[in-house]
Amino acid sequence: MARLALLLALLVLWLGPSSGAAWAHAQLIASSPADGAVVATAPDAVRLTFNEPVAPVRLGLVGPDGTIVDLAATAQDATVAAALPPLGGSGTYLVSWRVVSSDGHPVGGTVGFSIGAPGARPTIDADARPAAFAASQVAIRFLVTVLMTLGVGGAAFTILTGRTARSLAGMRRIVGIVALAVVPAAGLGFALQGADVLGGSFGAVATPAAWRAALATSVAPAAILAAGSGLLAFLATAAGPARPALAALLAGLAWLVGAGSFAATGHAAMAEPRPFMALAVFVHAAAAVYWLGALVPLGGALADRTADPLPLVERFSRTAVVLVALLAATGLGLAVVQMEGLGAFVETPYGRLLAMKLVGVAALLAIAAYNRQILTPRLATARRSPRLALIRSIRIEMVIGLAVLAIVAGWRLTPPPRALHAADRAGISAHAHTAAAMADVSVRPGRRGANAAAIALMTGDFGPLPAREVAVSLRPDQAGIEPVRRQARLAPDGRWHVEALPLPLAGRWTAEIEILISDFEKTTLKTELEIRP
Amino acid sequence: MTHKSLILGALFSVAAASSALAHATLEGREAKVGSTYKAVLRVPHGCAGAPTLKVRVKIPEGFIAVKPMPKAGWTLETVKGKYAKTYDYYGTPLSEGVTEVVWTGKLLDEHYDEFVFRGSFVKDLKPDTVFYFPAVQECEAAAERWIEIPAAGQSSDDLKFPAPGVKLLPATP
Repeated sequence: MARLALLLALLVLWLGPSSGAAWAHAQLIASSPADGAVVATAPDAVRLTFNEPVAPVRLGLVGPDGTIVDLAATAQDATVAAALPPLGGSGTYLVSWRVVSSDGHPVGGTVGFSIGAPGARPTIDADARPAAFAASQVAIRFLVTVLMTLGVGGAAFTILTGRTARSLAGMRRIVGIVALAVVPAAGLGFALQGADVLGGSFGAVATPAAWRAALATSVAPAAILAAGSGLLAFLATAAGPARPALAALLAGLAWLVGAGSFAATGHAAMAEPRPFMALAVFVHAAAAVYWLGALVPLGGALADRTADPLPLVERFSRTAVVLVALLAATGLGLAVVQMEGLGAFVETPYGRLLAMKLVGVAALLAIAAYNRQILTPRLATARRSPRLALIRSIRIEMVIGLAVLAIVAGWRLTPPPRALHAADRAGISAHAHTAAAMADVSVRPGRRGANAAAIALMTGDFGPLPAREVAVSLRPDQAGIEPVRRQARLAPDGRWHVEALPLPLAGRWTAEIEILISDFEKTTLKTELEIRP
Repeated sequence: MTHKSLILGALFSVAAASSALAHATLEGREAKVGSTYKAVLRVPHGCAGAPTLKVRVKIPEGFIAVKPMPKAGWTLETVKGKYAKTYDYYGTPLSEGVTEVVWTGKLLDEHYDEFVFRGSFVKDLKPDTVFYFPAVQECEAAAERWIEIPAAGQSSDDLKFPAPGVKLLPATP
């Protein structure tokens, strides 16, 4: 049955062009939902009304994610109706129709409608990589960040702040081993990055090609710096209290190199203005690594009943105030550049992660302030009681700190609003010309979904081209989808605009710009556009 | 979609294989260079269901001594202008004439009508080419413009709104 239908459809298509004259016979008069309509709830059917009886050849529904579903259409007089499947969610849908009119000519077109808001953004996922692969990248990034915080940050705290404190001796050894673990972890992250570049399969991780591919990315210097900082931190703890000057030098170096590894890669450090952004990331990472890295050794020192923790806690407290101030200032600066508006907090995955992180950081700050203002002074007066309370609150800080680091690792998968906006603002553009006329077409955001187009017209020799009417007609490369045709409006900027242009498929679209020059004179220009996913 | 409708579509397609009823076309498909030609413009439908209120036909250079036929119920107007050069019309030099014919009235989408004008193809037109009369149907808010002329290598079949045309044949010696 399906084959018969296909054969007949092909017969119709084959006979169509041979029929003496073509197209533009039956005309679509109305549709429900109307073309360009924004509806609150998903419609359960689509109805197309023509000016004469027609027989449907093919009806297809293109979803906001670019999937195409064939619809079963029935014709009654001049109306074609089709039930719609339950529509997943908000976004712009396109109904592509092709019918045969009573004189035998196939005619096609598209009707676009949106549920919710026009062109609700499709979720930006990493791409079509297996979810497990993306998850493993987040996991390894999280692991490296935690190991660096505990190892490198811990070494910085135990050696630079802790100096020769006896209560930290055991902690120094543990911190050193954790720091050494950064080296293989960073190596694994590096290999995963290479496999990601090569297409995202675990099989590629161990291949030299993956390592070579990773070398070309900004992850390479970051991984090398991370491994280097781990190694330096280990050496610093090994140098120990015996050679305090050397240990302090190595620990300081490890701290700076570790912070540098965060500034060497990632969305934030790569944003413009680059020197400022990289420096902000460097300071932010240095402060965070030290602060969070200090928590475990600090807790350990407090648990040691044989030593007086007060000098250590007070030194940490003084340093932490400065670092937290730096952390907040740089974090604010980075967020302003990356977010470009408060709406992004709810609209983008990146913004939602940032909101979660801010909640975590706010909790951390509240606990840290409580520790500093209430518990630490008490430590000086009543030695025994606040010690346990302080350990408890440090444990809570550690848990929240881990959660914050996990969120940070999740950013690996979400481009910040700044990057999204920049690409959207730029849109995509194309040029079309014949000897008589030229057109510059720009489509924004140039992504799958709702778009807007602007067309600048010129004569062949760059003079002004006064047009009576302009229409654009876009057809995707994908077979079976009819062109999206929209009338443009002349705006005060001298360009012709189409406000609502639903382009639900990524890939190449052929654009035809129909320019009516006078009542009896018309020019058509052709070009191609590449719509991003 | 039902198979019945597909079969129906295929049958329609076969049945209509030689007609072009859905475009604005000229009844007489051929004319000799230097001959008199009675143009019958066939208007098959309105603008996407809306009635046609005006029919305008551009008279291009090379079709001279044009006289439109009045229609009951329609107001007839012509636009006159200078020709690019002076043509010989049975011994009389002609340097100006009708350049556009305009009928104003009402034609419902479900009705069909014909609009007639007569004129003469000048002798220096090239035979074996198509002579196009761009025509515009104006409706209340829209217009159907049968004004597309195929570019080299294109045929009228490739166009959505082809201009009505007449194939020019060599003049009788």
